[in-house]
This record gives sequence, C-alpha cells and structure tokens, in this order.
Amino acid sequence: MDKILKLKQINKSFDNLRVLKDVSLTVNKGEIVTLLGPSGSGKTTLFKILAGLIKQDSGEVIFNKNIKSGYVFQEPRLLPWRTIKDNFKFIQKNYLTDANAKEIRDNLLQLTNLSEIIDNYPEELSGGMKQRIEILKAISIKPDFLIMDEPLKSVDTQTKLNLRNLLLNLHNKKNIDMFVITHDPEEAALLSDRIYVLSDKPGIIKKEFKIRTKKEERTLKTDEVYDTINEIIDIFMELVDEYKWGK
Amino acid sequence: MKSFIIKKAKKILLSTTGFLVVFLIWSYYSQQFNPLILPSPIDTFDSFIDIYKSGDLFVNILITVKRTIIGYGLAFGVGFILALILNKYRILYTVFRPIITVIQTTPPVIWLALAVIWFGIADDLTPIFLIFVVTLPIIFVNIFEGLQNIDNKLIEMARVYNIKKDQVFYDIYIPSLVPYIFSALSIGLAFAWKSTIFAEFLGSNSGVGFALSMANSNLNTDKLFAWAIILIILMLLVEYLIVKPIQSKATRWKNNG
Repeated sequence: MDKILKLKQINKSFDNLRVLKDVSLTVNKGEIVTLLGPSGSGKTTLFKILAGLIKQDSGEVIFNKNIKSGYVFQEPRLLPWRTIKDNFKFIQKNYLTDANAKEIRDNLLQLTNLSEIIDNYPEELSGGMKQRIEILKAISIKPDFLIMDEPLKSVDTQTKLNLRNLLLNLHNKKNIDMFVITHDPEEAALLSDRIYVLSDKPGIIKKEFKIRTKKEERTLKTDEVYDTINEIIDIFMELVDEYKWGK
Repeated sequence: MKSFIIKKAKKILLSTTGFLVVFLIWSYYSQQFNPLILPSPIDTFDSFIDIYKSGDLFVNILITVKRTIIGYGLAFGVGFILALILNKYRILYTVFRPIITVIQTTPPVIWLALAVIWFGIADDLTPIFLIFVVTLPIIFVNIFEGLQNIDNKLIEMARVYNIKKDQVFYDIYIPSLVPYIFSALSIGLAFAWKSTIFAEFLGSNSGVGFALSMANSNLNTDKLFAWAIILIILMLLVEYLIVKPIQSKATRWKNNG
C-alpha cells in the first residue's frame, strides 16, 4: 500500500518537559487517519512538526514526495484585512495559475453555498463560517493530503455535522486523504479508517484501532463505532488523575 | 441616510462649540485689555489680511511645510527601517535601545542649541535636524511595538504554505503595522510641527516660526495671533484632510466588522 506519511520514533521535549515519546504512525493512500489524545498529549506539537514549524528532537518524518499537503489549523487563520477572496488568493498564488485558482475557489464556495461571502471580510462571518473557510482554503491549493489540527473544535453541533460531511465528501469525491488530530472519540470513530490513541504527558501511542464500516454509513449507534468509542474511553479512564485528598 | 446627516451635523456643531466659546471669551476680554496684550479678533483678522497682501503668508507656509515634510519624512523612513532591523537582530536592539531612550529624553532645546552651533540659522538644516531628532524615537517606538504585536499565527500560516518573504511583508507585516503607522504619524506629526516652529522661532531666518518670532520682537501682538491661528488651521487641515482620510481608508476592514 502506498504510504502518504510515515512517522518514525518522533521525540520532542520543551526544556525538561517531554511532550512526545517515540511516536510512530503511518497514513496510507485512500485513508483518513486520526490521532486522538487528551489535552496536553502533544497533538498540536506533532501538527507543528508535520507542518515544518518546529523540529523534532529525534525521529523521522517521511512524506511521500509526490503529494501536495494542505494544512488546517485549530482556529481559522485568515488575514483580517483581506476579503475572503484575497485570503484564498494569498495561499493559492504559490501553487496555481490565476485562472485555475479562480475556478477552484469559485467552485468550492459554490459547492458549500458560500459564494455570496467572497467579498466579505473575515470579521463579518460567524465562527463556523470562518472554520469552513479555513478548511476550504487548505483545499483550494488542490492538495492530495490534508493535515488538520482539531478542525471541528469550538464549533456548534450543526456546524460540526456540516464540516464532517464536507470532509467526507472531499475524501470520497476528490480523493483527498487526511490526517486528523482531535480530542473527540466520536469525531474520530465517525470519520476515520484508523485511529491512533495518544496518552498524555508525554504523548505515547497507546493503541491503534481500525474501523471497517463504510464511513458514510456510520452513526453513533453503529456497533463498530459504539464499541470503538467505549474502548477509547476505557483507555482514557486509565489515564484519569488520582487525587489523594487529605482527611 | 437622513439620520446619518443629522448625526454628522450634530457632531460638527458640538465640536465647533468649544471654539465658539473660546472666541466669545476672547472677544469679550480683548475689550478689557490693551491690544498689545490681547488684540481683538477684528485686529487679528486685519493683520491676517496684511500678511496675505504682503505675500509673506504662502512663502512662509511653504518653507515651514517643506522643512516639516523633509525632517519628518526622514525620521519616518529611518525610524521604520531601524525598528525592522532592531526587531530582527535582538543584539542590536540591546545596543541601540538605550541610545534611542537618551535621544527621546533629551529636551528639544538642547538639540536646538547644538543644531544652531552645528548648522547655523541661515538654511533649512537646523529645523530639519530638530524635527528628525524629536520625531525619530516616536516613530521607532510605535513601529517597534507594532512589530512585537504581529500575529505569529498568521506568520506560521504563511510559512506552512511557503509564502514568499516579500508577499508576507506586503500582506501581513504592512497591514498589521497600519494602526501603529498611523498612530506614529498622528502623534509624530504634532511633534514635527511644534519642532519646526520652535526651531524657526529660535534658530532660523525664515518660515512661520520666524514670522512669529518677528511679530513677537516687534510687539505686533495682533500679527502674532494671526500667525498662530494660521498655524493651527494648517495643522488641522493636514490632520483632517490628509492623515485621517488615509487612515480611515487603510483600516476600512476594521470598520466593516
């Protein structure tokens, strides 16, 4: 199976605080893979390593050389002084011709019923809309692979459902593979082919899950989804802090 | 639209009320004192006509404006570049920051005294030097603060997408700095005008400041008042007809939120 991404024994510390310990994982072509972990497990640190924003202390990050990656940040990173159209242009410039870039962004905004906000400034949009634009922006460079840091965090339930639907559509219709970082077991179980569960302080991969049910047929009541979520919660229960109260 | 016009008219009326009150007090007290101490608005207006007819008005204004633009333009350019360099190389910041603080805290009169010794009073150098030295720290401090407050998350986003450095400068640095640039422009400009007039008053033989100095020496208080009012109007025109409209255009994305 073609590998899109391979991480080998990634370690990272900040001063004396060890954040990631021997993290190894792979993403294959045609997959959505999730890295699931509680707060403080080094998820965002790993995202930054993958994005090339910081360097690991040891270990290897190997990307398939023939793929183009798009990145979705936890919170929308839009230039407040540029319209939505110009925010797209800002990152498309490096990857596409003007005509091609226009066609892609118009198409994406039309598909997601956001065409009318193309000339608006980010401040004029709701949080959910901005997060959708953040995802569309990453897609607007025609990537083969999306790396996302908590893309559905801090949005309401309806927006979350819309965004999840959007991601699944992109995966199925546009063949975009994904590596999703999240803290939410439900999100992971509904979206992924495989899930890596990370413990906290330092982040170590505790277990890998495979879910075979077709993604578009999954609900929270699907046996495999239900069982996976419960197993993940069991792992997290083991990590719950023990408090020793005095008398 | 109608309510907008009414609101605007109310604002203009309120902001001119203060001037009207001062004008009425001035008119009243000018009747009580010798014109040498407090000339009346009518005497002042007559002096203004005299200045206009003599041809001094535009000659002096042009000289003062030219000096302000050169001195302030130089300070802006040097302050901006200095802030960029010192923001990038922290060791240079540690070396130069105390020097900038010294320049900032030294009273302008000391710089003026030195400038008169170094450059004399015959040409533009003394006022230009004073404007430069007084406004440079203001520009530097504002731009440097702006650079410190640039949203690192946007820089990270640009790095992830391999955006070229010149594009990052144009699309992230400059727009982030706009509020700081205008704050520096607005505060610095007031200091620039004051410095020009101060330098011309004490260390020059031309310009509005020199005209003020002549009126003062010859005890032409009405002329002194006329020049002072001309100067105030000039400063207000530059602030409200040039600086504010550009600022509002450059930050229109903020007003749309």
